[in-house]
Amino acid sequence: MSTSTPATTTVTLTINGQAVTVAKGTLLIEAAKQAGVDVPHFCYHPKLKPDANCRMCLVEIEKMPKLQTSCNMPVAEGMVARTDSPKVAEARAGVLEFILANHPLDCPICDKGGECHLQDEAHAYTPNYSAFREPKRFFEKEYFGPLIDKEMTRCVQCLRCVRYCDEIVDSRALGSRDRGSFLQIGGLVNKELDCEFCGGCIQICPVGALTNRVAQYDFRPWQLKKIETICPHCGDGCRLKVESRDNVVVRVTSDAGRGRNNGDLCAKGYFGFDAVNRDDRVKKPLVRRNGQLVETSWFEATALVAGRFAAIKAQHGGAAIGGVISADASNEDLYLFQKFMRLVLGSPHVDSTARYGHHNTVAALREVTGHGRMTASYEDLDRAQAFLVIGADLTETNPIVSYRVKHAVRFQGAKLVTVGRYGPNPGAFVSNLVNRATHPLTAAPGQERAVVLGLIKSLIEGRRVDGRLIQESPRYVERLSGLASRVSWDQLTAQSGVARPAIEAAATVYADAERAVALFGRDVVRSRGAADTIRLIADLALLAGKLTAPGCGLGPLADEANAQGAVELGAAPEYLPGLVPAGDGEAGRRVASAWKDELPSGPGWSLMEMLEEARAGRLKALYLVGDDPLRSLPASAKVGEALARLELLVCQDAFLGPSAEAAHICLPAATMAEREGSWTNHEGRVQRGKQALDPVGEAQADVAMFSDIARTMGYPLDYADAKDIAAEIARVAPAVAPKGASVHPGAVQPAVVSQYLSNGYEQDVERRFAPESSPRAASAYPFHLTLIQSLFRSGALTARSTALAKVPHQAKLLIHPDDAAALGVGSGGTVRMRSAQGAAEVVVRVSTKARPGRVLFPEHYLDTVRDLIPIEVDPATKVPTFRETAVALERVAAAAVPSRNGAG
Amino acid sequence: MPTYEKILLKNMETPGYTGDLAAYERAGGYQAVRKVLAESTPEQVVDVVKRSGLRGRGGAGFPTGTKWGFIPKDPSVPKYLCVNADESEPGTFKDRQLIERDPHQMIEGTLIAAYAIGAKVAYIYLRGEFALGARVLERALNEARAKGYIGKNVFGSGRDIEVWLHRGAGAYICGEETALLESIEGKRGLPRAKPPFPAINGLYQQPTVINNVETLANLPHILTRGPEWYAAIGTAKSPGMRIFSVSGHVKRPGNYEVPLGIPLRELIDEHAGGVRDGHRIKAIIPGGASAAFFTPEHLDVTLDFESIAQAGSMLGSGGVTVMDETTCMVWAAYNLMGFFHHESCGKCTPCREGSVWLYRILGRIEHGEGRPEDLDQLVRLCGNIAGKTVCAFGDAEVAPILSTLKHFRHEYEAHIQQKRCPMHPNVLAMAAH
Amino acid sequence: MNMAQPVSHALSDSAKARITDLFPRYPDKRSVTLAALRVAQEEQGYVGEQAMADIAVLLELTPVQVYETATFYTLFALEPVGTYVIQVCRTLSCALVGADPLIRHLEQKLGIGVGGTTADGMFTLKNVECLAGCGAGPMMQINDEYYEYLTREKIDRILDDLRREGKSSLASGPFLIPLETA
Repeated sequence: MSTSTPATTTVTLTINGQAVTVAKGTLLIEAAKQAGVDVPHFCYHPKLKPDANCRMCLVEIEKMPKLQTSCNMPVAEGMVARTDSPKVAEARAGVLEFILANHPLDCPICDKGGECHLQDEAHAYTPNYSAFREPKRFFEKEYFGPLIDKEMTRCVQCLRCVRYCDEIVDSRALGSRDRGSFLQIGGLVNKELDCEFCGGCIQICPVGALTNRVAQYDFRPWQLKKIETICPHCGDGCRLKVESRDNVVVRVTSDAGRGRNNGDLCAKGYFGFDAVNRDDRVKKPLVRRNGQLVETSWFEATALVAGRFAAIKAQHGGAAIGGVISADASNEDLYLFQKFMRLVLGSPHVDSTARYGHHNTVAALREVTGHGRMTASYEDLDRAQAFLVIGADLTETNPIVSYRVKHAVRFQGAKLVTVGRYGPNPGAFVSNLVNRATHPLTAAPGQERAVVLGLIKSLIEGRRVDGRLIQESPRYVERLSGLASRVSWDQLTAQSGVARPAIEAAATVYADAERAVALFGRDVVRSRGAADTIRLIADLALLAGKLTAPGCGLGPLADEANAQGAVELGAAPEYLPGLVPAGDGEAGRRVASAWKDELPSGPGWSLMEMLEEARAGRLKALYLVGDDPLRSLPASAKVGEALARLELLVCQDAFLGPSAEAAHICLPAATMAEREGSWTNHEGRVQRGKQALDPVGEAQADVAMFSDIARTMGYPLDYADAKDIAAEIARVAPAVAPKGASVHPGAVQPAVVSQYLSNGYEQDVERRFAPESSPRAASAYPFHLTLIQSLFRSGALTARSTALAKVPHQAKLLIHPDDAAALGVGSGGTVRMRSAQGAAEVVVRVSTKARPGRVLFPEHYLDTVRDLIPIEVDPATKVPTFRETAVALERVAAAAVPSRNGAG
Repeated sequence: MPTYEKILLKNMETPGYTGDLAAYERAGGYQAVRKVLAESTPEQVVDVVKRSGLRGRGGAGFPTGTKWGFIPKDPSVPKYLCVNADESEPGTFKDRQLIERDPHQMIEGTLIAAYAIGAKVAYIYLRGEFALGARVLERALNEARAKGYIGKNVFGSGRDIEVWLHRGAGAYICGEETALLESIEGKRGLPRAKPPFPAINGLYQQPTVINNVETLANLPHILTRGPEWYAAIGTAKSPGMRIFSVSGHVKRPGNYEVPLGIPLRELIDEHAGGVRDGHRIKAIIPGGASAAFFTPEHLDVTLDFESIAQAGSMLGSGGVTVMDETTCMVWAAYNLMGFFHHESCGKCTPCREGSVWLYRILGRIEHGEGRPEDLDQLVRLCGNIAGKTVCAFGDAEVAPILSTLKHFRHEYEAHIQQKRCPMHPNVLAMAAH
Repeated sequence: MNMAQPVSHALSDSAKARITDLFPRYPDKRSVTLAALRVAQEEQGYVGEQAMADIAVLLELTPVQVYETATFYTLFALEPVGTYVIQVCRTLSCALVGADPLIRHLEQKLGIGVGGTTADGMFTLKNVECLAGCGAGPMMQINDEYYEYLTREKIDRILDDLRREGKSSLASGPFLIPLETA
């Protein structure tokens, strides 16, 4: 629902004799830019609040006795400014003389050389000599840790890094120390930097004071090939610039003003690229001979895969073959894969890793909004007056969305209601959204739905239901009111642990805000009964009038880069491209006729069903593209058993993961940097990425491999390039095709909402209004463990990043100070954690983010912890849940004395 | 010696005056605010102060009533009054005395000002080193709070005015009004870029007035005796009494309350007892370390805002430092540059980088390592600092250098030629910071 | 600068209570930063890293935010200092009336240079900029107390008093005239 607010008034001023008309409130420096006049500056940055400290942007303004900084001066009607007068030139030269006086001029060995503001401005505005004859200032060298280098002698004290770390990221890990000519930037003395490692301070530094240690001394900027693509690490959909030299990624950056992220990145985007360069990539096709995977040629590998698929298809039918693809893949990969599975292999069994969660969202929302996209755009987040964030640890899962939410809360005064299992942890450098909540509703694990029910109940009882909805859909409102009244407050508060007044206050905040957005994430999406909870959140938005109103909406947050595309393009047994139900005969025929072929008959199996069928011997072959179920699923999923029974396991991946180690054939795949394509972020924005590198070794893009195998099997699936595939997607699935940059692709489909309000809501309505109690913790296992997402590792690629592995404080069991004290452990101590499934030893970190009796551990670090968790599959959406369980803890090593404050 | 009716120092110079609430009330204290709350609207108070011509005593001399007038009237917007009790300008020690000896006079002024601008909360920003002042003020505030003079429903007026003491922690720059606001907000005391101005966007981003201690201490008297009475004291443009802090080579250093407009000579010779015996005046700083040096030629300049400015310096904080012929002017400038170098907050490039550069050059000259080109260099660098920074600190730090260079250039040249300080041949290096 | 950090201690519950008691005075907890640092210094003699981390949690800041504020103000010692911190004013008005020789006298008397601490941990000697005692110079501040109209003899007596009794009657009272009820 993005609507840009038109400038209500404009102001006309004169800059260097030229009349300029700009929006009221524009800063003079920006007005000058619009007039084509560049004003030199160091401390100013359009993302940050002006600080006017560098004094480089001084200009002359008529009727003002002194020169004025243009970076903090709002334009005024009739203002007459000069940036080209002798007075201004003298002032600029003076400021630069002061900056250069103590600057080391070590440009030849400075990584910033060639893209340095100071070089550019000095070149343009200073005389070619210096009158400075004093000893240069010296700062003791301090190290910022393994990822970021600080060279204070080069610093111009503009504080852009400090301000960025505060205003944009809210990490507040950088500060300025001491004062006057001793002023320097830094974290705590003698401490390595402990922060979100977003790299933003490096990117925003105008000089070489902060540089990327991962790329240190590896390049001169002009030697780098710079290609833009889309980040593969979460659903935020950030535009990155892959900068390479000799086909090796040297660094990743992102330009301000570019992409949905406006140049902001997180640790994974900025530092996590190095996995691409690893030596242990799969570089050639591998086939199993005498129990060993050995290298072979593409010709032989393709022939072998095609031959084995054909043989199994001939003997058992196409339905004996299944395929699963990673939801990080591009739209083109996803589309072609499902087409390959359905037409070439003749199998309905195609799925993706979106099965781990996003399918719950789509199942719940497809009949409410028409899709599973965010119905609010990022711009709506910026302008929101209230947020409901339900079951989402935003900083860790969707950092760029979290920047926008925190910014709106801190600087626009937006109210923030958080519903979830995390407590605030003030003093921590990795900013926790709950720290910023105006209404933190900290609930028992798995009780997000009870709180949502409470919010609905509050709306109804407080007579805050949208008036138009009451008028237009009285039956819906009546029905839901009736159901809500059957749930007692006693039950809701007892189950959730959240007090009624707190819920009521939060409901008021949500209902009263003109522009309110409800976001929800993995603690809802990847939990038991997720679809019911999500549907209930949609009911809440509808009742509050916040689903379709301008500036409002729902925001399902995706963990994977292309969960949207995976489902929308039909890499799912239940959907054909365009989110068309596979069982819908009429729609299916339209797709089939576009493909000029028959669709395979019978219901398709989901990922978990495929594994079960493999164990039962009915699924004979499995084609895994970028997915590694042995790595992703806990022991209780018995993946090994399933894979072992297959006649054929083909793995197509960039790395040899555990599943690939068990494969009959491995095909080397290109990574995000080595292929072109488009990705659909959780807003529904389809964004193109270009190929930055040639694939390593003999690796190939997924689409090329599908085409090769298909051709060998006698069913050509040939396309000229990614655009050619995109054109077919637009034809086959017009419903999900991009509608242009100005249209928010997640806009609610009005016909679907009306349908829902007239009778669609009845489906499972009683069930979702019946709060489910959490299983009572058995006394043998008194703690509740949740597997959480980490900002620094979210999957196979990031797990292989050497740079990210250097970030401190990872892979720790977060435990509340009271529990830590009771166990007698402090941060750095070790505990043994037992569940009904087994035991694991873990190092603890004391933090109030974990609530008493509940511990948190990040996924993708220790298989032993993952294996403590039993798996459960949702009978309707087939989504596997393996995120929480009851555990017992016992101390192994105490380490430091527990601090009750537990910053961390 | 001419004598004048004391206003601000009257109570404390009365023998036996303890400065506690009872003593202040016995001397007629808290009558003005009581009357104002009962009988005047805030607009009327602003008007009275405007008519009195009272100008800020902190340094800039801005008309107090006009400053108040910039505050938006919207009652739904919270407003703040901040009392600038961060007295740190070298050579100035009057506020310390007003606080330690007669705290209630200042508190009464604070209440009047808060009422006039519609502030429900006032913070007294007290210099961190003033531990005694803090004890005195804390006790005075508690006395007033216990009596219902501050807090809820002050003097039964239905108005709430809270007054809290907020202690600084050692930073000259926090006397700058926006740095003071940052410091109250718990941050580093860096002056803010203006616009926006504090009257619109001040403490916690709300409209804020910052008034000096001496300014506020005048208010009960103006409200009691009327603006016309006040305006008749001093000069037409600089009305009222002023406390001058006199220090240095005089016989009786101390605080002297005199009408604005008396000659500098009268202050030094009559009130402060004149220069010490056997010596003659060489230089005078008339308004704190940020003010340009005067020479004996300036002794007939009158002490009002306009005359001093016209003569090339400023009335500033009222800190008058007198130097006799034994004082080396390069040493004096170097001493003050040491102060400014130590106190520069480091925010703006010209001041951060310029202060250390100037300090090094002056140090070299004083220690006999000056170079002939240094003097033009000093002037040029000062020109690149003055007027180029967020706050007035940049102008302040160059004043001692430029004025000593102007009046005593030959002393600088002698240092450079003789490669030593001619006056203090054995001068010890001022210890580095 | 890369010297080992002294062991730093957590703030006591009473110190924390003194800090949180000030919250009602301000609309934003961060405003209590300076007061909180002062409480920490009063309790521990200096402001250590753990104390700053504790303050950060109370004030809902990060430790760096507390730290950067602490480094801006001269009154906070970030490393342990002597029981008595002697700060002698060196600025012009005091310098004109003989501050320099008195600083030399103190250095000799204590056997340390400016910036140093006596071996017994009793005294730390520092220079300080103008303390608004210009009319009564030379002057110095020792912990909370001002000492004015200094002479060598007076300094000797003050140091003796502090060594012997932990306080000195030579401290300045309310300026100019002693306040009877003080």
